[in-house]
Amino acid sequence: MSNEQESTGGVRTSSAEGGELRERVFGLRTAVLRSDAVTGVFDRITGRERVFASVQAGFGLGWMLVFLFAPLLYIVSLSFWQRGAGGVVVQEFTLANYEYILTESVDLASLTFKNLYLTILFQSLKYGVFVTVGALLLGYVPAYFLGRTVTKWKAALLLLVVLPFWVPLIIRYYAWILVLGNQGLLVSMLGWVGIEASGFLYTELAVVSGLTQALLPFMILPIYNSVNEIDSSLIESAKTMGATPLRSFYEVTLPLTLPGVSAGVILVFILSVGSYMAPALLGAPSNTMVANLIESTFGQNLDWPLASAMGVVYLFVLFGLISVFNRFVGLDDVFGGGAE
Amino acid sequence: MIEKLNRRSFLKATGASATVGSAALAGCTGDGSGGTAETTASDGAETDETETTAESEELSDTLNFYSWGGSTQEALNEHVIEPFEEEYGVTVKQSSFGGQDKMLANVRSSPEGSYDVIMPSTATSYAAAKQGLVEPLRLENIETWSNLMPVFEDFSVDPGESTHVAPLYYGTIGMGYNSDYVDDSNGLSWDLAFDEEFAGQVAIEGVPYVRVFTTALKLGMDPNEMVGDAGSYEEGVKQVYDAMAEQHELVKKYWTSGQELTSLFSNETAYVGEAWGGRILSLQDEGYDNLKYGIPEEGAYGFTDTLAIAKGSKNRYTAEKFIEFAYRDDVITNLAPDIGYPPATEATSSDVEALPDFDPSGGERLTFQDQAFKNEHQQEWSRTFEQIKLGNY
Repeated sequence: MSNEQESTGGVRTSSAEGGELRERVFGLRTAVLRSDAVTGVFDRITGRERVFASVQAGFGLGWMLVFLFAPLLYIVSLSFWQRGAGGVVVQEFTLANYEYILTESVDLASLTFKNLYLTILFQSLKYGVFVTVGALLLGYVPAYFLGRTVTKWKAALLLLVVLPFWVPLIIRYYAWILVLGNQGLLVSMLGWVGIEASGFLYTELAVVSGLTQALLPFMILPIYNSVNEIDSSLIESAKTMGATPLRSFYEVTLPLTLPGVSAGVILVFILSVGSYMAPALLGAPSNTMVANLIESTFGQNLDWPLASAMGVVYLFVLFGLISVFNRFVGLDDVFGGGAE
Repeated sequence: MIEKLNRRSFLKATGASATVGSAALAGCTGDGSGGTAETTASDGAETDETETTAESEELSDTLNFYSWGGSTQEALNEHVIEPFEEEYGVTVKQSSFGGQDKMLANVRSSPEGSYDVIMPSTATSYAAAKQGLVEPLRLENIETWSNLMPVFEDFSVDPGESTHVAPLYYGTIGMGYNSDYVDDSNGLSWDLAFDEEFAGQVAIEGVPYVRVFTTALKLGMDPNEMVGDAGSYEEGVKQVYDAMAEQHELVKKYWTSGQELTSLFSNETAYVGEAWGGRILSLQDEGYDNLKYGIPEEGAYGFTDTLAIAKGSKNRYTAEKFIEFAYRDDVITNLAPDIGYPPATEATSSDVEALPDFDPSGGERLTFQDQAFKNEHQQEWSRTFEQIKLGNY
């Protein structure tokens, strides 16, 4: 405590005589920045657009290289090593981790399939599909409304969509516990209309609904964006040519919002399949998802190599699924493919 | 402002170089001159010690302490950290973790010297020592080391010759229950957590090695051998798995944090199961008089939270002094009731004896997991536990 006071006292005294010093530093900095050497470099860079562009791109790529690819490379190499006593990583090459992940408890002779990793991976993908469908059904209407409506409240309504992002995810899940719990909001509300319930927490429904409410904005925003871009004269002309509102929706609006829908679907699917907190906090014991399995392998079992192999396989499966999705939907349209 | 003559400034003032004394008198902490002074002092003391030891045998300005968060951190703050800072003139920089896994991973992946004192539990101290994440304790620097209960002096959780962890307090993962629904008049037994009557109202800890340990106790086996009547480990562990699968049908939630366990019991999602004594105690303080905690007749998983010195600590000597301070009778008897667990030293008081985990036999009744045994079988326990959870067993 006393140290803190002393140090602030120290800052105060130095600030009294610091004015002059600051001016000198400022003057020096200006001189450096205006010197021919510095301005020359800037001129040369901005003068050549190509150099400028590659510096920009280089910065982004460098960032990716250091913070994404390097750790990923480490994880890939870890996945070929072994766990020693007490969780020490033994740097000897092995394929045992992958073999274990893919073939454990699989007996082709008796057709029994109880493979832990693949069962849990399949379960995660299943929840991902449920959440994506749920978010699409719940998100399309508000997104459509936001995109088509003409009201001065539009900004406020959009803010409401983004507002949950200001609250940390874990708090939103705890709030969901308060809603679904056995003494929760939903149970009380059902009680008012005479329905007895004992809470909905620690079920598959709790996981899927919790993820849906948490990820809904990721569905609404891209769809809103593509609805917003529709030229309203297209819909009007469909109607003048005799199309019913329903038909004009199916033939004009829906196809034009597909890019937004696919972007939303991809985002929500990826985020939900990789979810860790929702199954841990809201789920029943059997609702384990792949992130939970990787975490307990990494943390409790201190088996970094096996956990890494699990991560790598997960990455490949997800990548494969998105490539298949790409075949059908054409993500180039969504994210603006470079070929055009 | 008058600078209190504390132990630190005393040590500094009596140091080899005059700059040290003036620096201490000026009340200065953490600037360049202090650093220069320390090297000067170490050069002088080079004769009988190696250079590195001599260099660190002086109190540093700061100590980086990485501890459990929440109420544990608050209690440590009030009863250990603040008095230590006052007496030694060392600034303790704190950070906290919510789980041992995160702590271990963080220490392992941070540069050496990021942390000085860390808090591994029994379950992780073995891994911490095996992975070389902790420095051996130089017991001669910890004058209060003899206060420790004998049971912790040759502690099975610490591999190798040297001592790596200093147990601070001990506890059990015993039975938590709601006395409105659970009848404890016949004493407590783990059978209650296997009773069909409580189907869907059982909450137990979701850690595989705790699960097999408690289940083995329930079956009357030695949890560090798991042989029992079965004749072999393979047969014995199968009985344990079968019992776990049977209990799984009754389990509402396998909790993994103190926060989770408190909410499960306090909002009556769970009536019976496993709990940490300290957490139930704090619920009782909040007015949940129907929530109880006890050690069943079959026994319970014992744990300790320890203080250890992180590998590459630059303030090793100060860290040892910190442990010495925490082991002092007056410090630890104040700390223990607030943390909710009895001290691992022999110090006691009426408040300490009132704690739910207090063992009057001086630690003889505590059962700890054999960490080498655990290390050998842990992977297989975890896999089977996951399969049981999925209903695949």
